[in-house]
Amino acid sequence: MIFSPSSWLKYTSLLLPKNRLQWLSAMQAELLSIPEEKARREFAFGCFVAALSEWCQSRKGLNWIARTGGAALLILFSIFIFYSSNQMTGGADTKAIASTINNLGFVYLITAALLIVSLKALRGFSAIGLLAAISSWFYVMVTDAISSSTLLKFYAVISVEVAGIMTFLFLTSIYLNWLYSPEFHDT
Amino acid sequence: MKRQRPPSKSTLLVLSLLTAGPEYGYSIIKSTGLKSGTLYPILMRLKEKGYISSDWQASESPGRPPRQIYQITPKGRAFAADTLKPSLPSQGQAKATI
Repeated sequence: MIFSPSSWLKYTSLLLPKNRLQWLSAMQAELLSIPEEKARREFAFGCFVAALSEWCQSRKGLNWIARTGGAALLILFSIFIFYSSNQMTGGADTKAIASTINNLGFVYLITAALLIVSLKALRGFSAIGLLAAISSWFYVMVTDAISSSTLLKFYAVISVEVAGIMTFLFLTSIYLNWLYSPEFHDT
Repeated sequence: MKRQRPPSKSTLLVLSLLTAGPEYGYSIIKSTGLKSGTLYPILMRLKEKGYISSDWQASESPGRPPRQIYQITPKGRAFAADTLKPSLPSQGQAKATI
């Protein structure tokens, strides 16, 4: 059975971080001492939830979420940038593709830069980036320069994109700092 | 400046129960009404902080594997003395709110 108490504990063993594996034996022994089937199922499922929560808070879980989320975000960005570039350049496909590649290169550059800054620096970096991006976008839109220059059109798209990335990074860094602060844990 | 988070009601409930004497995981669940998904992370944190310790104890039922029994440490007792009195809900109240 996929959802039997022993199966839940098997899934628990897959999720528990290495430094928590000793808890699995305690959970297994405890499960065997519970007589009622319903209580056993609830207990085993709870252990799975505990392991899932531990996994999500571990570096491994966060890394997986960040990598998968980052990849998904990048794909969505690519699609968005391609369509917006295509519209702005009036359907000129070559220009749109070139613009997409250019934008993605920019995204990768930012990602690479972020890999070499610490978590604390990330917050300041993204906050300044966000302000710069909003200022650029505001300047381009307010001066109505967007209609006159292809370069400024490109600049406007980039600004919105950077603002999005920076907001995401800023919130992520706040969340991660909070998550890894020593006072976070529930005691 | 780092935030000092007060312990949760569930944590206090577990600590208060353990001040009365050592308990098995499932007996804590039965006494407090907490789910295992809530209890085990609390036990993990408490043990990491040195507020509780655990030992393997032979099961009372023959043929069953040994179980982990959790007990409060002197450090945990001091922490409990500091935090339990002003903020601990009675067990009945806590069960009703969990």
